[in-house]
Amino acid sequence: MSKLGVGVAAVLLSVSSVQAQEIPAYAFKNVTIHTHDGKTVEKASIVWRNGSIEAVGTNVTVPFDAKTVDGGDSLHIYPGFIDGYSEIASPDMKRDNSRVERPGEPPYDKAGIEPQRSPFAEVDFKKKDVSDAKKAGFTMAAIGLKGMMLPGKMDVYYLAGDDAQANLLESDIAQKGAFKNSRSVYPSTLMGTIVKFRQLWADASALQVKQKNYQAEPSKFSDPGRDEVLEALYPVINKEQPLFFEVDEKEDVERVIKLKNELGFNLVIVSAKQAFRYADLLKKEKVPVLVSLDLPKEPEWKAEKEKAKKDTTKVEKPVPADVQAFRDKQWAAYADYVKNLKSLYDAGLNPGFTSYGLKWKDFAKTIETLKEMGLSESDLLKSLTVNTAAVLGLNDKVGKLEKGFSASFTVTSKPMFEKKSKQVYQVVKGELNDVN
Amino acid sequence: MFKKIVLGLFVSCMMLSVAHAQQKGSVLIKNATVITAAGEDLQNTDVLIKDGIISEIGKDLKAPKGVETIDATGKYVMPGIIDAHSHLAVTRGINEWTNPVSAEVSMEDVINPNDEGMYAALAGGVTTIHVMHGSANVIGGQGETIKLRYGMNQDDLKFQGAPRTIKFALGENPTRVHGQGFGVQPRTRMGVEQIVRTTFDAAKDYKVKREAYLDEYAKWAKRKKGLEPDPVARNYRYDVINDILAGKVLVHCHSYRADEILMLMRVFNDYGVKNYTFQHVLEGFKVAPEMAKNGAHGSTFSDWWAYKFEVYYASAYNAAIMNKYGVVTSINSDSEELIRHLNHEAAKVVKYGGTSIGDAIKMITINPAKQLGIDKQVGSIEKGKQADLAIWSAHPFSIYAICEQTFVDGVSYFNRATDPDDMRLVINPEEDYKLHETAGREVDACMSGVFEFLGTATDSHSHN
Amino acid sequence: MKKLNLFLVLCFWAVTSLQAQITEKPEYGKFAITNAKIYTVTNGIIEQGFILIDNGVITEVTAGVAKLPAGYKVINAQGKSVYPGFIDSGTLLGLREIEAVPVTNDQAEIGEFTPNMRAFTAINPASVNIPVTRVNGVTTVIAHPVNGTIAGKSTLINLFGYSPDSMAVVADAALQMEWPSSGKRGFWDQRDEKKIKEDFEKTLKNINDYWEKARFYNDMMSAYEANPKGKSKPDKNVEWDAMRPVFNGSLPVVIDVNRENDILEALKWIKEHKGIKFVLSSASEGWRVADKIAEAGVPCLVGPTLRTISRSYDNYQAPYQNAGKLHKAGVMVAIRTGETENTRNLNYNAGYAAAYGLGTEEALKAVTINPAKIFGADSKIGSLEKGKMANLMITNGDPFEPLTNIETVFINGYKIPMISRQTQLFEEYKDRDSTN
Repeated sequence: MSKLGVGVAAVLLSVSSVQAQEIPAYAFKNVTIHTHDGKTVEKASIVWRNGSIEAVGTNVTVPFDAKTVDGGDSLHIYPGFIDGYSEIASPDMKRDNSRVERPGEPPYDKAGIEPQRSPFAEVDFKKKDVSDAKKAGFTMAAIGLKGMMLPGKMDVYYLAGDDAQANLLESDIAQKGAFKNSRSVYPSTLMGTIVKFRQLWADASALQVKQKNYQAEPSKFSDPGRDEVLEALYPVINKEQPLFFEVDEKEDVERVIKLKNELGFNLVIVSAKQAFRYADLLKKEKVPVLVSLDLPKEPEWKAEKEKAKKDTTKVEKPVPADVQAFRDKQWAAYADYVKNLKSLYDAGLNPGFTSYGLKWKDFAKTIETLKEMGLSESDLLKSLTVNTAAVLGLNDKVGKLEKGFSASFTVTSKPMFEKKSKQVYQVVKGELNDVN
Repeated sequence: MFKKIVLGLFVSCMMLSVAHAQQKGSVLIKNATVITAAGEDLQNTDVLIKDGIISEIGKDLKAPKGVETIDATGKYVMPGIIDAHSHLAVTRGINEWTNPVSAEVSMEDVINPNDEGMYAALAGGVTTIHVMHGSANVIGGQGETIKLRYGMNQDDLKFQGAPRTIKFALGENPTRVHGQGFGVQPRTRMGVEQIVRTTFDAAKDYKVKREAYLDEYAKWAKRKKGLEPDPVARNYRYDVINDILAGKVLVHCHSYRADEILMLMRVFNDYGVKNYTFQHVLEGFKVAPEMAKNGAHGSTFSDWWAYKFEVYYASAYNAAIMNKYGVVTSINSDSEELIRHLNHEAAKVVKYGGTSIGDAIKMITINPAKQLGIDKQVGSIEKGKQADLAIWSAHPFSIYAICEQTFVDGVSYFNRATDPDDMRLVINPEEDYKLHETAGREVDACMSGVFEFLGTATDSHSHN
Repeated sequence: MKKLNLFLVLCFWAVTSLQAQITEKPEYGKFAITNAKIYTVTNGIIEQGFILIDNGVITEVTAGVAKLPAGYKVINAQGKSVYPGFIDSGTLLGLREIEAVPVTNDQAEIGEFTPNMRAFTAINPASVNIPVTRVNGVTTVIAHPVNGTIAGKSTLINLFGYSPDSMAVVADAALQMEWPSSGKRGFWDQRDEKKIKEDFEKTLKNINDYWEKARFYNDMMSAYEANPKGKSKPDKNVEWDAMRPVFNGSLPVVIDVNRENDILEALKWIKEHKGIKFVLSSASEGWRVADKIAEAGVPCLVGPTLRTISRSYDNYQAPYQNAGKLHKAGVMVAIRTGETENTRNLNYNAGYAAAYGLGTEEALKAVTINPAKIFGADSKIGSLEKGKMANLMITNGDPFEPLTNIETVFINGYKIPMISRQTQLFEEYKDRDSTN
């Protein structure tokens, strides 16, 4: 999307409520609908009103009050993609190098323990990664803040305009967590971080009871006071809210699952770049997963080798045995990573998607690589839509192009994952943006 | 982008896991000189292992059907070496150095089963290691005793039934980190003692309150009438301290100087702590009679010294003197390099101080097993014990002795004749062949992760 | 605080020097070692023979039974073996007392190029580390400075004497240089490939600039000295002046280098500088390019042998086999420990090389005659031959074996007391009166 395009979209959106009253409904006709599970419906129409899809299919009569775009059989419509765990729109982490008096007893924020933080106050939808995500076909994201072991709450936002309030779909859906620690204060190690989770749970659980007691019988119990940090953990401790946890390594996944079983909370595994090593474990533990598509770089020698093969004028230099052995292992490892998402489907799981770790400029190339390495388009689309919606608990509202669902979708000039495909329109909760 | 520096974006090599899917092995080793570490060496002797257990030791044993026979004529079989002090197989930090007391952290939570250092240790005949917290704080974290079942999951490495352990540290390291580094106690050996006493006292006080609450809660829980009592939250740190005081956690204390060794024994006598081991203990030879009287064990280097001031008056004769006075003495590595030749480290104890070869063998087998509380299971070649052992081309105290095969629970995890060069379990696909990061020189293992915050330069290979 | 520190340091030195004192005097004069198995190194093994020593010099090494002239102290070595004293080709012995106490570290001067620094100057003959080393049969070591790129001159010293002057075999043995690394410096090194290459090239350029200036200085001075008439004497540059022996081929240059690529770069550089004696040191990946090193005709000071693999995919034995592989390729090999207080473990570093491919005989050469040759001291030390300095040990077996005892050591003809602070402490504490 050009800068001008962003500007236009912003203007459109800022006056959208007025527009919605002016025009009761919209429709596309003569378009190809790509459903969340990879099916295509040609010569279809889609009608939406008040932000929801009213009708979709080949057998649809476009109502008189719907402003209609005729696709002329050349436009393609995809359900809006959902980023299940995102740091887009988050400010960067503050660098705080000030020394604390006692590194063993730092204030909560120094230790990266900030579950009370809410993205709402801090998100900035003008950031470039937001427009990049929209360009990639995303219309919604569960957003959290950058941080360390407990960086704060997560909210779900539409990727419409700049106004966080207008974009907000659900607030405080989860807590964000990771095995990330400061290196200069407690906890400064992984083992410290793990036990700090335990201690926080113990402290918060106790405080919760004390507060209840005091509230009920202030004359009998002493006032335990308030602690916004521990209080923010109550919903996770009470299993009213899941903990979205960033992990890649198999060993780390084993660690966080052990914590989950010990402390009792609802866990969602996020990132999971090594999920091919532990798909069975996720299945056994019934832990939902949002997979990062941040792939390793293809080993350089691979491209060089392909090139040399094609060059008939040169004889390839033999590779020494030790180097060849190294390369064989390296390639196997590379393939494992690239087939990561597929391996989860093969294990019978329904992985969702996170943009965590991904560079948006690599998105198209990444999809291409995934498909080359055997991922079907239907599985890909499911991860980007319904699977993620299900993890977020929004599967009755978003992720499908079906009646009653949010009218959030992307319109392209060709099938989206083909080369030279361009985004023509994007509809976010009913608001039509002409990307051109 | 795929982050290059994040350690552990790796791939498993399934090959090995499959090979070791069966965790208990059976094998017959024929006609070896068997160093039992429990009496005389046995000449021309067979050792039969069934399902991971040594089932028979004798002559002319027959292999049960389907059990492999290894001809070890002219070779030596010795118990798997046990290293009572290691920092191998740990991920992201061995030192929760930030607080003078960090008893709540545990190596159990951070075992890295993919550390190639474990394979190198197996190649030196090592089968069990005590994975320890570092020495930056007075009461450090809990240790984990693991078997080198290289290729298995982190939980599968654990030595089942091994007692819990914890690291303490005295002297220069804690006083340097906290006192010198941050201006908090301890800055002196006086302060070190007070940290221990204060912590023990606070833990005992907490225990009284916590138990009173648990009693109250239990009473309330029976009927659930009215409001539950105000909780006394569980304190993970003091729980561990109380377990030490109750004898459920064995203390392994980093120590060097004679006075600090005496100090801790005094404190432990006051609080009734028993069955502990001094680690490094380079001046143990100066207070060996007192150690023996208190039943304190000593786990030391064969010859490291002079890398810091508190070890300037140390001596390679340390182990020999401690042993002479009846202290249960072991030789440890505290190093991914040294762990590969603990057999020769033990041999030096014969050279420096005239310890018998038999006693020196015990210093890397049954003695460390005693210090870790696993001597009923491992540490010697005796009927009924777990089959952790190695086959050597010559007497393991000879410099020319090469370890040929190492078994854990009767399963071969190292075979010099058949193993490939590259024994990595996990592979970072972005790793370049030539630009490969080197393991480099030994760093100050016990203090790793600490120096960058103290501005202390560590060049080359210092120890702990 | 500073003052207190200084006070402590002074106290500590006072105590140290007291403790370091070994009161027993060495014996000197005429000795006859009889009935010994003699490992001459240069003339094979004499199964039964005798050695005569007269005022520091070996005057006879002969098979059979000695007919002794009068005045010789006889050491009957029946059943024992005699070896030349071992030479460690790279240590910090005498320069560094206690690693963690900076004021006792004299191995690293400030500066990138300090060729005028002489290790000889800072050798502390009273270092407690020295007796501990020599009683294990290591009679002679290279002690070298370590700072910057050109650190200064190493010194070849005997481990007995009251002054550096009396200890020196070759006061200035070599110019010590550290090759800049073209790879990552460690896991913490976050420079990308391009930056690493740039840094390397920059450092190399600095070396070349410096080197060329020093070479020019030598030419200029030589021209002036050859015919000073009518020329004004150029000013002296102490640094470049210190490098003049390098350019006339009398002072070897020891290059400390480890990685495969770095070794290749160093060899390329060596090739460009004809007429200079070069030696490689450390060379942990020497085995990868053994043929290239052999082709360049550059000797190697290998070690320590007891180190971990440099690449995680290498065979675990690679460091043990390094010396053997280099020797097989035709490289002259010496062994170094790189140690200070535990230089006594030279025996076992050589032993590992022996066991893993070098063989006992060659390993023996690698700690005797080879380093003597490399440092131009083979007329004085490195073998048991008539006319050489009496540096030798009498043992009850193979000195590479940890169970072997070194029973008698001669250094420069002195029969040294087999005492160190460690043996003194042993004597004091082995029978401690436990009631005190």
